[in-house]
Amino acid sequence: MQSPLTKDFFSLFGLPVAFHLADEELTARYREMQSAVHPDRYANAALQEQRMSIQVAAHINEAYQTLKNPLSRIRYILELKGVDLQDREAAPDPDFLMRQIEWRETMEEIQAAGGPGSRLADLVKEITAYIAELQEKIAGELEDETLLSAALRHYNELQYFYRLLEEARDIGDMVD
Amino acid sequence: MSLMQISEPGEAPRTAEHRRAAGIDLGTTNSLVASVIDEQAVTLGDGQGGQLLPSVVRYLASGSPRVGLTDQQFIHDDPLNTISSVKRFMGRGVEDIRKLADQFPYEFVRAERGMPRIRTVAGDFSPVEVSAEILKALKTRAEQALGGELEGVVITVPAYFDDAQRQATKDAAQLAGLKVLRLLNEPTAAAIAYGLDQGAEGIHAIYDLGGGTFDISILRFSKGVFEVLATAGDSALGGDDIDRVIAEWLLDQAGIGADADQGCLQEIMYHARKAKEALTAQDSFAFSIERPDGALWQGRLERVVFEDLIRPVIKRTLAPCKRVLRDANIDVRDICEVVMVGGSTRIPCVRDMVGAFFHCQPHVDIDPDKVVAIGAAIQADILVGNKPGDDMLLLDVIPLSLGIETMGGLVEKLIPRNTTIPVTRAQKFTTFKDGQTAMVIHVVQGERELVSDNRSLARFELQGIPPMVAGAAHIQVTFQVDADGLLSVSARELSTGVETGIVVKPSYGLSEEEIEHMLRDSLTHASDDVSIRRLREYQVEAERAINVIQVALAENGERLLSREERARIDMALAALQAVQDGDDYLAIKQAMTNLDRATAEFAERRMNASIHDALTGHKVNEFSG
Repeated sequence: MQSPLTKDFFSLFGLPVAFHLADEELTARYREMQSAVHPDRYANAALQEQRMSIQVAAHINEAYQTLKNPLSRIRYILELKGVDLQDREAAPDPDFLMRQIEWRETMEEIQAAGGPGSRLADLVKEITAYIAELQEKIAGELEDETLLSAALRHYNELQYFYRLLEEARDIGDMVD
Repeated sequence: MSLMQISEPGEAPRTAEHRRAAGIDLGTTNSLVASVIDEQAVTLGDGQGGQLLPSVVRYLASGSPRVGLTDQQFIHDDPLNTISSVKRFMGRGVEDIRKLADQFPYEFVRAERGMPRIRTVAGDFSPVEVSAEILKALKTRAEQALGGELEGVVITVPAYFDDAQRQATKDAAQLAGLKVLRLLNEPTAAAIAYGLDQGAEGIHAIYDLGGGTFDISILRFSKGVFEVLATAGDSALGGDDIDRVIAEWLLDQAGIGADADQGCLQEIMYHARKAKEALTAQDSFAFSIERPDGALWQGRLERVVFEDLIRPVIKRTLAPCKRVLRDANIDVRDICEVVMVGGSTRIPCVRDMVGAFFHCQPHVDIDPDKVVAIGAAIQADILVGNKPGDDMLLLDVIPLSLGIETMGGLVEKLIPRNTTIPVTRAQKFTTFKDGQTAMVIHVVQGERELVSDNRSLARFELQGIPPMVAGAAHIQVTFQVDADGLLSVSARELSTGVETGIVVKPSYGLSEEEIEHMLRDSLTHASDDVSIRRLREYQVEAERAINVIQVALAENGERLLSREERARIDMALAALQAVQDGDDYLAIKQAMTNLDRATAEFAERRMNASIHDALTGHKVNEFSG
């Protein structure tokens, strides 16, 4: 029996390495595993088991968080496939540059206008839809060994759009 | 969970005897202890019908301090020696306390290191020691009610307590001679009591406004799993602050200067509290107060004025409410219910404002004073091993981000807030000088970018790094936050594998030596003997270690160990049994360490097997089920 600490996160949960995964299945397995190893189960056990339980439970938490979040899931798959994340060779997509400028401007306008109203909601919706589309693209690229550099490039773009989404929500919170 | 049952190899485990465990709500204003008796969690009284123990300790010139005074006369007559609201000072430094100091009459003494002390006629005491007195009183109460020594307790802390505040609470428990099974977050404790009671499913908000702390937690309940999605709060905001705004209004109305003596100010606070309590049910409250010049002032506070006065305080709780929704990544409409906890949520104005914010009627039909202690008692009962087979699972989070100091006084975040615990993060460091053998890592907690804006937790000094040229040593430092929300740090040089020694310098906490010292002091007072107490503690620990290993061996020793491995463990076990009743505590300690080492591999295999079995749908210890 291999130690859970050395298994990759997907096989830890008994899932195939892929961007698309069944959320409910991941959560159900996560809970089953935590039920078996959580420190609360070992509060009265031998010291060795208490320590081990903290380590393993922490590892399972990390695995779950990594796989649950789409951004970190993509990053993790890229790492598993041996892609160098620091590789900045890939030229950014013209489409990416254009959208970036466009949305940034829209956001500045909304902020300057002081009232986000429906324009902000529309912007959030638009970015969210684009993120979903980009993730679909990446999901496919991750399946094809020859497209991994494209996957990395799109992953870098994706990070940018998630940040933008956060900023848009920040503006919303400030005005509320 | 049958791990905790006691059984001999080869025979079916007999029903374990009921173990004495308790849940303790160590509150700013009041404290409570509860326990599960005959399947029912109940709060334990003082024998005279009282359940709440006021968190007040009065030190006397001679004799033991008196805990839980209900008569406010003492606070009035002897304000400097009657310590209340000590929870506000837990894990705080001199600087923090200076900010709070003008609200309290006590004389603070700066200690050689971080933690300040309060000067009383009986000597100088740290907040940890004062809290330990309250815990001792609760321990005595529980042991009388349960008819014997407690095997373990769960102590609740505000979810928003930082590492230093949690550690201070745990230190206080140690001083009081309590074995802490777990530090449990107060809103989570309330959720257990409430959720198990109601069989509720879905996403809930727990709004907990206590005497001196405020927490808001978002939890998802689902089939016995309590998952905290996010938590936020203010560990220096509570009912005390409501009392204070009323007291200020009173001083103003009665024409008493803030320079009045401490006894007078304490009395004003007392009247303020009475008014607050009365105005939850009445529309106005009449005062009759003797001014310092002897004249009598009479006045009246209308509920509308009262509400105007306290609204700004309550409003301060709404910013964390907003943030917690965002952190949990949910919309306010996703929340199916808001549960109100803490005495201050009795105030109708608080209920109205919270209800309006969450767009729903707050749930108030549980006693907001007792629900935390009840939840803690349920958890303690499970953790101590009284409910084998119970599959309740609690997944809690770290309330504030943990980071380390980097160049230019900036913080690099290692573990973001609202990460599920336990959690570990490894970070690599290198040396910047030839032959460098030590380095210091400064750990802070908080959300701000500058070190100086966050709370300093500790400086970890790594020692014994093998001397190499600059940049050649690679030190991997592992930060671990356990299920109590407490941080520990370990480090290893990667190329040589050398485990580096770590000296912890807590910024506001007590060192191991200080605790040892306090323990000795407190025992001298009680004319007890340190060495006897220590020996007894080791004997109890040895007994426990032997039991749990025997149970583990009975469960799956056959399946997971070779004959030789089994023989090695049996030998270590026999060696411990041989010394456990002797009077040499060092021999017991050594034998326990040996047993610990001998079982390391076995522990790991058991863990792997239990994960494997969980995933394949079998229980590790099927035969006992």
